[in-house]
Parts: sequence; structure tokens; C-alpha cells
Amino acid sequence: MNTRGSLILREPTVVVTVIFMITVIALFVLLPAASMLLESVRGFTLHRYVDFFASRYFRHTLYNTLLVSGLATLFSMTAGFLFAYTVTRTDVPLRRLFSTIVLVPMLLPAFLIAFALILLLGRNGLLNQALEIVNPGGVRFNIYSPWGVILAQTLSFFPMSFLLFAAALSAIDPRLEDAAQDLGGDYWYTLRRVTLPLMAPAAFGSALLLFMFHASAFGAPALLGGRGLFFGNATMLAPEAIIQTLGARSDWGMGATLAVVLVVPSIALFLAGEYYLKRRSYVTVTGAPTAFRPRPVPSGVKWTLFALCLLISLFIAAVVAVVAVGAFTQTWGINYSFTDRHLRTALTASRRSINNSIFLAGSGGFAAALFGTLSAWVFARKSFRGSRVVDALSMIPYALPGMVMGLGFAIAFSGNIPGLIMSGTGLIIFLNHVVRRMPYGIRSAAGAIRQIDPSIEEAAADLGGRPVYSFVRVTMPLLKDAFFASFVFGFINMMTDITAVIFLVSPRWRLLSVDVFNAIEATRYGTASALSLIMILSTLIVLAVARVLGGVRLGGKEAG
Amino acid sequence: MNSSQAVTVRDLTKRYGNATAVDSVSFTAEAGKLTTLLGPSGCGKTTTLRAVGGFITVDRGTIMIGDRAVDSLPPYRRPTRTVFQSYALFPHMSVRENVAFGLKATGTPRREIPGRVAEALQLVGLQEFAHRQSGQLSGGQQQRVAFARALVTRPEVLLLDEPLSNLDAKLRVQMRLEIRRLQQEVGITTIYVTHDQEEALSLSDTVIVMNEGRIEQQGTPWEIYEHPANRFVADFIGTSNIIPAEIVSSGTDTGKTGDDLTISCLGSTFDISRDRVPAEITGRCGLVIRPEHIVLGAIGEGSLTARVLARDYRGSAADYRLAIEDGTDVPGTELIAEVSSPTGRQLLEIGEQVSLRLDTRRVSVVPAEE
Repeated sequence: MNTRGSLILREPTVVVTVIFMITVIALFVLLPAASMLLESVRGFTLHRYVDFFASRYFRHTLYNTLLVSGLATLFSMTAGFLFAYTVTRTDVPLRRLFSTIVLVPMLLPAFLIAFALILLLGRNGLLNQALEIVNPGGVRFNIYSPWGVILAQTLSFFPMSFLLFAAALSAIDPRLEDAAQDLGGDYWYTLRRVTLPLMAPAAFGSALLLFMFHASAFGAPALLGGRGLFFGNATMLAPEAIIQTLGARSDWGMGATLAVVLVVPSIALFLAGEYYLKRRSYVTVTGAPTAFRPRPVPSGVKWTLFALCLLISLFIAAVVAVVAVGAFTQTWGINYSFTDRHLRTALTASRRSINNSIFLAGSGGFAAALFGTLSAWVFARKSFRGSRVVDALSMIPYALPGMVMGLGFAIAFSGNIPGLIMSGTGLIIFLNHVVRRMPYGIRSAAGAIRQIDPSIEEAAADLGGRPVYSFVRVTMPLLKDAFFASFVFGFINMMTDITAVIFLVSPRWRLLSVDVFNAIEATRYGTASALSLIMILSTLIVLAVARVLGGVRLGGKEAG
Repeated sequence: MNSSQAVTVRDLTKRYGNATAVDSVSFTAEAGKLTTLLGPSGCGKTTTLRAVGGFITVDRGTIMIGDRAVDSLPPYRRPTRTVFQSYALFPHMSVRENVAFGLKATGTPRREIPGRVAEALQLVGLQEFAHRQSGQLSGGQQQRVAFARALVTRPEVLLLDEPLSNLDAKLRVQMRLEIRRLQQEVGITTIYVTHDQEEALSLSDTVIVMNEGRIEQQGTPWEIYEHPANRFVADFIGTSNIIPAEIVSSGTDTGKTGDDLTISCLGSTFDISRDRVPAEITGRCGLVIRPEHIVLGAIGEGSLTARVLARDYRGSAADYRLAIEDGTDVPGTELIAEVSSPTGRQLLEIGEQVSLRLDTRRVSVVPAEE
């Protein structure tokens, strides 16, 4: 084709997608982020930052954030690696079961896990009651402590490190370990000198990502850390920012300052983590498929791994069980007789929230999956000047903690900019969802597109298929699974999100997750359990439907 | 039947950044014939094919199919069909749906489709596999589906992009004959891209040898093999010995018949037919001789003596790497000689001495090394 028309004539889809993308990024990512930054220096002053670092209390929130995140990262990495190693590299019994159970926490927001821990290990928790029977007046678990927060965070995020480690371990050619043993290395030597070094880049990358997710934790520290953590009576940055803005002081400037203090290192860590995970320098690529081959490990190792995995799996099962049982229990810790009153209360008092959540998560998940898939296809198949820049920009919301996106939206669209007033509407929640989940849709689809031989789409054109016909008949069916995957994760994340939407809900647009959180905070545990059960069931139904329609598997979660 | 059309490519140029993939390439693929674009990877053959199919925009040049310029047409409006190197079967469709795709996409009347699909599958011998998913087929079967899918819409031109490169050696020879049969049966203008010179010689009506974005030589397989136009073609097609030589006189000077030239090579002179020497070559040149045209014999029989450096016995033939020894002014020159179907006595050992003679009737001449 010699005709060199303008880009818009030759590739209208590219132009439309790029304009759309830039508009979305400018309006719903950069503008909220900038508003937040400006709010923190409102009145052209840096005094809030000075106050932050001058205040012992605020410094303590920072120290708490660093220490709690560091320890939670360490524990979630360890648990994730144990599970991944057990599932991909050993002959430990019940491996398959473990690999399914480990993914259950991905369906549960961190605050829900914290809630389950209250039911298990709180003052009237089951385990403490059991201890009271065994040893009256003796030692008790104290879940309202930094260790409680770390436990909730670990349970909530170790599945993510499991997935990263499992992917890295599966990518290692098992023949490398065979070779090490063939050359005379025993089990421990092979593990120490071959397996673990090969995992180093993945471990480093996931450590950075996990630290960032833990650092922006809100739900667990808000519910379990209210009486102070390691340092003083301070909590962590994200809950403190919410206390500052939504609490009695209503100091949005200080909230924004805390958010900025949180977000700057977060983005740096996120980018560094992504960079290392992408490099994955030790992934060995060979022609032959390296199917999973269970291999015998020393029996001491085998049964230790089995015991650890079983213990954690049972704990996860208990987390789900107490919430389910709690929904039908009169008064947790006092009267365990059956009742359906919590469920009835939940369905009447929160009916509107349930409908709102399902409607917004459904429509938002669909929009995010659709735009994500289309954008990924345009980025992958159409080369144009600056495509890499737009692609990189579209990933920003993925790196921003939910709290920052929520606070940014609340500041940007509350009337500070004429014509862009959306506070109190469903639209602001919808847009927030879509923008935050779209990067996931783009990634999911980009992975699928990489698997599709470009000649397949060329063949469709070659055989006479016009662009739209070819796209509908060939490209779309091939991207169906990726589409459903991003829809499901969009839906689940939207149903369970709390940190962003807590800034955006209004009396008219209440949401299920916020109702659950409020019920937990108000210690109405029966109602909280019933609402949680509804939340879990609705995500399970969507997951099951998507599994039938599109072969969706579990695999992603964001900071809660 | 197809209305096959000639493909005329004129002055085709395609650049990627600073690299010129195709540099002013012009050729005609004759109607109903199979034309091969042959060359090493990166020579521009696939780029040329993709330009004909409409998958890339070119920087300069025109492409005509019959008397129609197709340059501004997107792939789906061109009367060309491609068999891709990876076959590019639609993984979410059955064999039948794959073959029917082109008919549906171009709005063929619905009631015609089943008959046309069945006919195309019959042509490639896959009637029984119509309901299979494309993933359930062997490589050879996938290849046949790709052919049926391309031919079912009765294109004017068939484009084949290294279609045999993903098959194992035995199947490749079998499919090579199959492709030739299909092409001749349908009588369709075909452009075939390959880097395998044996495939090109076996299949083609016309071979176009490409290198670094340019055409080195165009001709029948016999012409390409017997009369390579230059060092590149001599080297790329088959195995060649290229020996420094000199045209010492045109035959007329020495009173011989006007059709011969005298050439000095490896210390002796001989006459060769003038039609084996391109007109522009005078003086120093390279003499091309194929291994099978070097005749080995017992010491004293031939004009040169050589020692065996290495042996590559392949059953049907044996190749020897030889070093010219003495009795010439060019000791040390190495040659490859082939003895077909050697008897036990003929099988030479490494280090053994042998005499050799060049079959000067079958040599050709290329320009001297720069």
C-alpha cells in the first residue's frame, strides 16, 4: 500500500484507543493524584510535611508501617514458598488440595480475614474460650496487637507470593535439579546451590511487591491495630490517613500528606518489583515441555512440609467456617444457638448496598475487562509512535494503593474543579473501579495475545475477512478466556474493595463491603458475618459461572 | 477452475529503519506456474511475499496481479491466499470451519459452502477429518488443512511461506511432491518462499535466488544449478568448488572454433564452450565445478594429484575433501569431490593419494573474487 494517509484514516482503532486511554489516564489517574498532592500543600505550604516529621505520633505510624510490612512480607514469603515448593517439587500427600485451599484467601478481603481472626482469637474468640476451659485464667491470644495485624496480612497475601513462587518454580527445568543430583549433590546441597539461587530474582521481585501491598494495608490495622502497634499508640499510614480525613478532625490536607508519604516509596518499590519479576533472568527455556514431576524428598522434609501446609490450610478453612457459622449464631462467644435473624437483617437493612455492589462490580468489571482487552490488543498488534509510553502510563493505577486512588478521587471530583463534581454518585465509584481494574484487564489480555500467532489474524484477513469480521470471528473468541478472567477478578476485587470506596460511598450509594466493615467496627458480629457470607457467595457464583463459560482460574489480588 | 493470473512485481523496495529488506526487486511470476523465491534468511524473500499478500506497506514499487495494480488493496480484498509457515489454523474452529472461513467471510451463498468445503478437503485427502479440532491433527494434516483453506476460495494466486519448514525430513519430501501435484492439478499461479535449495529445485518452474534484498539470478532450476550467474548463486545452490582461473584467450585467437574459450586453471589449460561464460567476464575469473564433476582415478590416470583430507560417506555417495598436492603451481588448493555409489574398492582412506580430472564440459565461470 503506497498510500500514506494520516494515522486516523489508516488506523482509526488505534487513534480512538489512544485518545481514550490518554483521556482516562489524564482525568482519572493523573488528575486525582495531582489533586491529592496539591491538597497536601494547600496554601502553598509544606507545613504539613514538617508537622508529619516533627510529630512523634506520625513518625510512629511510619515506623509501624515499615516494621509491620517488613515482618508480614517475611512471613508471607516464607508461607508462599513452602506451599509453592510443596506443590511443585515434592511428593507430599494432598498437594493438589493444598494448591486449591491456598487460593481461597484471594477471594477474601484482608479486613474479612481480620474479622475471622477476631472470631477465632479475639477476647471471646473460639480458641481463647477453649484455652479458658483448659487453663482458666492462663495465657490468651491477643489478636489486637501488631502480631494480629501481621497474621491477618500474612494470611491475606501469602497466596500471591505462592503464585509468584509457583510460577518461578514451574519455570525451572527439573532436569537442572536432576543434573545437580547426578553430579553428586544431596538434597540439601541441591536445594541450597541450585533451586534457591534460581529463585532469587522471583523472590526479590515478589518481596518488593508484597512489601508495597502490606505497607498500604488498611483493613487489618484498622480493625486490629487501633490500640497501637509496635511504636507507641500509633497505627499505620493508610488507616491513619483515613482517620485524619473521615474522622472527627476531617483534615484532608493531613490525610493527603500521609497518602503522599505512603505512595512515593510504594511506587518506587512497585516499579522495582515489576522490573525484577519481568527480567526473571534465570527462567530456563528449553524445547521440551517440563511437565510437573513429583519427586521424592527426604521423609523428614516431606512430613514437616505436610504438617505446615496442613496447619495453614486448616486455619484458612477455619477462617471461612467461622464467618459462615457466625452468620447463623445468636451471639458469638456467648450464645451459639442457631438463628437466621442476622441473615434477615442483612438482607433488609443492606439490600440496597448489596444491589449497588453487585451492579457496580458487574458493570465495572465488564467495562474494565472490555477496555482492557481492546487496549491490550491495540498495543500488541498496532505499532505506533509512543505506544510504549501509553502502555506504561496505563499501568500507573496498578501501582497506586487503593487508598490513594480513593482519596484522590474524593478530592478531585468534589467540586474543586468546576464541572467535575461527582461526589456522592454511583458514577464516581464505577469510574474508580474501572480505572483501577483496567490494568489487570490489559495484563491478562496481553498475556493471551502473546500466545496467539500473529499469522492467525493475518490468515483471517488473507481469506477475505474484513477487519471487523476477522476481529469478531477470530480475535475475540481467542481472547474470550482472558476477558472472563479479567472480568472475574475485576468483579471480585470490586465486591471486596474497601480502601478506595470508603472515601466514595454516600447515603445513596452505600456498598456491601463498607457495610461489612462498619458492622465489624460496631462489633455487630452476627450482621457482619451474614453480610460477609453474602459477599463471599456472590463472588463464588460469579467465579463458578465464569469457570463454566471461560475456563477461568484463580490468580490475582490487590492491596486491601 | 481458477482464472490464474501472472504476478508482476516492479521496483519493490521496503525499508525497516535503516535496513533495506527489499531493494528494487522486479520479477514476474508466470500465470499457472510455480515461482520460488529462494535465499538465506534475511534475504527479503518473505518480505516480498508478504508485500504481495498485502500484509506490509511497501516504500516503493508496484505489484500487479494480471493487469490490475493491487498496491492499495488490503489483504482481504486481494485475490491472493497464503499458506503460512505456522499454518495459522484457527485453534477455536474445526477443520470444516477453518476451511469454510474464507467462503463465509467473502459472502459465498450459504448453500454452496458445504459442497465447496467437501471438495477442498477431498483435494487434500482429509474428508474424514472434517470434524476434528485443528489441534488434534498432525503437522502434515494441519498443512493440508491450510492448503484446503487457501484453495477453497479459488484465489488467483497462491502464496506459500516456507510451508514445509515445520515438518520432519521424510514428510517434507512427501509433501513437496504433494504440493507440486496440487499446484499442477489446480493450475494456480504460485509464489513459494523457501531457504531450502533442494526444495526449490524440486518444485519450481522458475527459481528466483535472492540475497541481501536483491535478486541474484532468475531461471529454471536447471539453469540456476548448471549456470550460476555469480559466486553467491554457485555457493548457495548445491555444493560448489570455486577455483581461481583466468580466461587466457578467446578461441578465435588460437584459430579454434569461434564457440570456445581457453581457460587456465590449476596449472593447465582447457577449452570451454563460450555459452558457459558470461560475456562481461574477461581475464581473471572463478571456475565453478560441482563435486560430482570431479572424476577421481588411480594415480597417473588424471592430470592432478591430491591427498584425501576427510571423507563423508553417505551410502548413496561419498564426499571427499581433497588437497591438490604437487605437479601444479597451486599446491594446497582444496576441493570437494563426490563419488556416487562407491564400491568398496573405490572408498578412499584419509591420507591416501588420488589423481583427479575435471569434467570441463560441465564447469561454469563466475566473476573473480573481489
